[in-house]
Amino acid sequence: MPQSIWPRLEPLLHKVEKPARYIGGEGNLIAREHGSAEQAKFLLAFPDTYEIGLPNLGLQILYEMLNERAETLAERTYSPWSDLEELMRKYRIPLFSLENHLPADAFDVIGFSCASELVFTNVLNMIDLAGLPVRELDRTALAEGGTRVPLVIAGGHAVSNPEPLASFIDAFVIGDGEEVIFEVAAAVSSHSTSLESGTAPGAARRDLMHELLRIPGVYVPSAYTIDYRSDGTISRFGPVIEGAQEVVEKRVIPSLADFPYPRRPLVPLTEVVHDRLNIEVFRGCQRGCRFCQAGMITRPTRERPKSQVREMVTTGLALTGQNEVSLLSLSTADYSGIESLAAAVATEHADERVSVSLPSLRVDAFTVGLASEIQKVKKTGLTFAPEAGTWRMRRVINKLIADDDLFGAVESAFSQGWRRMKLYFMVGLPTEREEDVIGIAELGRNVIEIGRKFSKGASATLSVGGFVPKSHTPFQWTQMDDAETLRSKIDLLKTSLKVRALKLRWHDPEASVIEGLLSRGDRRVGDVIERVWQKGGVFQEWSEHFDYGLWLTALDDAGLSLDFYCFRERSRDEILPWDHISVGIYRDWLWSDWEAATAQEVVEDCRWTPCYDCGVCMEFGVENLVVSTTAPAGGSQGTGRSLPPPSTEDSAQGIGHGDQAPDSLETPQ
Amino acid sequence: MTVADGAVAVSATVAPVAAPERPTGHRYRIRYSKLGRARFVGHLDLARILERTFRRASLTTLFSEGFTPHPKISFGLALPVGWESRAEYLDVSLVDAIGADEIAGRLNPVMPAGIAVEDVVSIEPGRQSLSSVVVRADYSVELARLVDGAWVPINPDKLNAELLAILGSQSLIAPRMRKGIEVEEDLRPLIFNLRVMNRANPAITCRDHLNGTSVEMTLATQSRVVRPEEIAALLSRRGLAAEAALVRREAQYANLNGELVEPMSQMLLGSKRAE
Repeated sequence: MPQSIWPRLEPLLHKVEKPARYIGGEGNLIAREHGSAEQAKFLLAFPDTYEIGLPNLGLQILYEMLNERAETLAERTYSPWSDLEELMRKYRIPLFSLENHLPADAFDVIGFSCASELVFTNVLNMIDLAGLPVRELDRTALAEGGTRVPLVIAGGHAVSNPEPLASFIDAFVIGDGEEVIFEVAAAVSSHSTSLESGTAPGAARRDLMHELLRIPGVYVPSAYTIDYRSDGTISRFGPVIEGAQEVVEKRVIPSLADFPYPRRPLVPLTEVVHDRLNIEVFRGCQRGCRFCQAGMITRPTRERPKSQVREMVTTGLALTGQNEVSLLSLSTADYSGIESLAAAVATEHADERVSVSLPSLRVDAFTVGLASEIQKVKKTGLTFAPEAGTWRMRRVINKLIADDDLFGAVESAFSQGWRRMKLYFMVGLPTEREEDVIGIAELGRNVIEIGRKFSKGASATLSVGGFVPKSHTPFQWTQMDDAETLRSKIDLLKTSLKVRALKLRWHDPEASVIEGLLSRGDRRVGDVIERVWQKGGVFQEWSEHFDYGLWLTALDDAGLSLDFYCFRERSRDEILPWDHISVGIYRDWLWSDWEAATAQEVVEDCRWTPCYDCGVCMEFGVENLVVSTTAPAGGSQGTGRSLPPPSTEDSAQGIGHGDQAPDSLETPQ
Repeated sequence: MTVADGAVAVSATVAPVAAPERPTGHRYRIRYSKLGRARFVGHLDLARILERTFRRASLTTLFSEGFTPHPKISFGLALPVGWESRAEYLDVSLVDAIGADEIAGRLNPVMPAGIAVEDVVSIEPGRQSLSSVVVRADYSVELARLVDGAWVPINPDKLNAELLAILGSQSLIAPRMRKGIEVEEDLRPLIFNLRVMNRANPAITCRDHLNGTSVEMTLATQSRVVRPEEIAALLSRRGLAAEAALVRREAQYANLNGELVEPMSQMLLGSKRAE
């Protein structure tokens, strides 16, 4: 087995913050002896700090599954903080794994799990710390020169448009990883065997890439070329290697029941976020909120059987000693048996003083019953996500929550003893007007008023972020507000609050704009990412480190502009940089939903109303899998409850089709 | 599932139930060790880890009252991040009476690597708190110099001479920061022993990459905790550059009528060890 770098690392740990980030040794850790060359050895890398990365379920799932088989192995690494990084560079200590403290080059694959776009510079930084050239072309050149080079792959929601990172990654894995990871492992294993038997690294790497690009769900960027027009748009995007798929379709596991992971969740030795027993209760979401990339790309919905959830909670608690259980999904209150599940879990473990929390809740599925179940042991925080300030705006984004739904849910919560709520909103949504922004404050004040019926100390925090249009959503063609416009809307909100009990938190508008650049960028944006990284722009997802100036300078140097990527409306026939990636939704359906948005037409929950043929279920031969025929109680859309009609004052000027935005919206320059 | 329909009428013939007594539980003192990489786990982190470990061991602790109930575990002296120890103490109240061996037997398999239960005794409730009782502690310290990212040992003879000189001094005035102001303090009364150790001593776990000179120290924990790093700083000021590359607390002592005893000693506790 390769040599551990621990003896060189240990003396340095005295000099850094939170040394426990780097020691490994977590509860339920899987540290194995490395096997023969044939064994595919993965270094699973989360490109953010340990505190943020440890709880990541996706990584833990792959970690366990890869370690269950003799023919694969996985260790983990996270981004070292800047203080250790400086020392690592000074004393030439490479990126290392936590299980055995092995250097990155002891592995066959480095696999990045990307949850958000602003971590892209961390990805480059970690490739560099691993001792590898950051560009794929340069790694291929190294291999052709006779050096064995690990494979660098990436997956996760943030790479559903893989193009900005495409120059730096050998292969992307799109969609669910549980099955495809083993197909990648098999290819890696052949590669290692090939090298052992004397094949030159250059040739072996070429063979590996050829094998990878044939695997459904795997996108190998180097197998494609892109031609651009003088106006900057793409004139052609196509495969140049035989066998490369025209369109790479995401992988979907038909049922969560076959994958009860993680079975043995990692228990950290130091403080991390989301430090609870996290159980994934369903994957996918079919509510069709038009801004939500996560919902769109993870369809169809697959719910985990209730009995399996309960089992995973029981064994998980026994193996971790956690005292809080979090039932995770994109919208847990939508789980079709949620009340009885929450009741069962809370009751079964109340003696152990275990509390249950649900992450942000859909307002219309929240009921008194659910509230009473989850508050049994301890009141954990309550977060709702109305997302927009007026019913009109919510119809446009298809978040079908009527004001009454929000007030009903909030009243339930206050009546059950909660005192503080958090409400998520966005500004900068398509067709937004001033009254929609002010509407956010009005909703907040109404919530306080309701709360005051139960307690003088009732308070609420409005958490507001700039809307960032994402790939694979009906809003992928729209322009976003620039930083100045977003800031002026937040300022407007600040002055509209009027009530001390109502607090406002907001996301940096400039960070939102750069998120916009990275989520809808093309391959040329890679130059920008590289320049920002070279200037030391890591941890951009941390507000203390985000540096707008670095990005603007890098854009300038690369000859690219935010106007092109963020501040223009795209036309229907423009080739989008991510068109060659399919999440299963028909592009035509996305476009028609975009048109429907501006007409305030709504699309309901397809588990309970007839299918509107977005394409996903046909594509994959999988249907929405629900565990109960009983719809969630309490006013869920599509359960026969009539929704308030569209606002009559809206004259619904169509936007899109290359037209300008309605007059009431400032047109950003 | 339906929401509760509202209160069910209570029959007038049901006798009122007596208010449950506040449980006093069964109190235990535990000595544990923290060695190897676990030394980088901070004190607050350890508290969180132990809470979980008791659950995994199926040992139900008593909980405090209030909005966020906590398990009733009280710690003695905090162990700074980076130090090892063979003798850390905590007191815990369990709901059930459980034998000392069984407590250790249930906890050790689920403790994090490097942290182990060494000894358990049952104690009477109302014992003086651990932190107020301990007056001094023994340490074994690797003194070294950091050169180009690696530890280099210090000449043991020179070191020995300096340590003897320190012990031979009547007073040792040293600067100290108190509430942001630098004050002077006499360290000498707070130092009880300093001795270069025989490297052949099997109790010393020397590791090749932690190349230092081993020193025994006994330092006060009251009126305040004197750290081995301060002795290293003192040596550096006197011309012998040194850092504490590794500190291991070996024992803690309480003062029982002029005699030094360990916190688990029967003399101190005045009670039998649990069966």
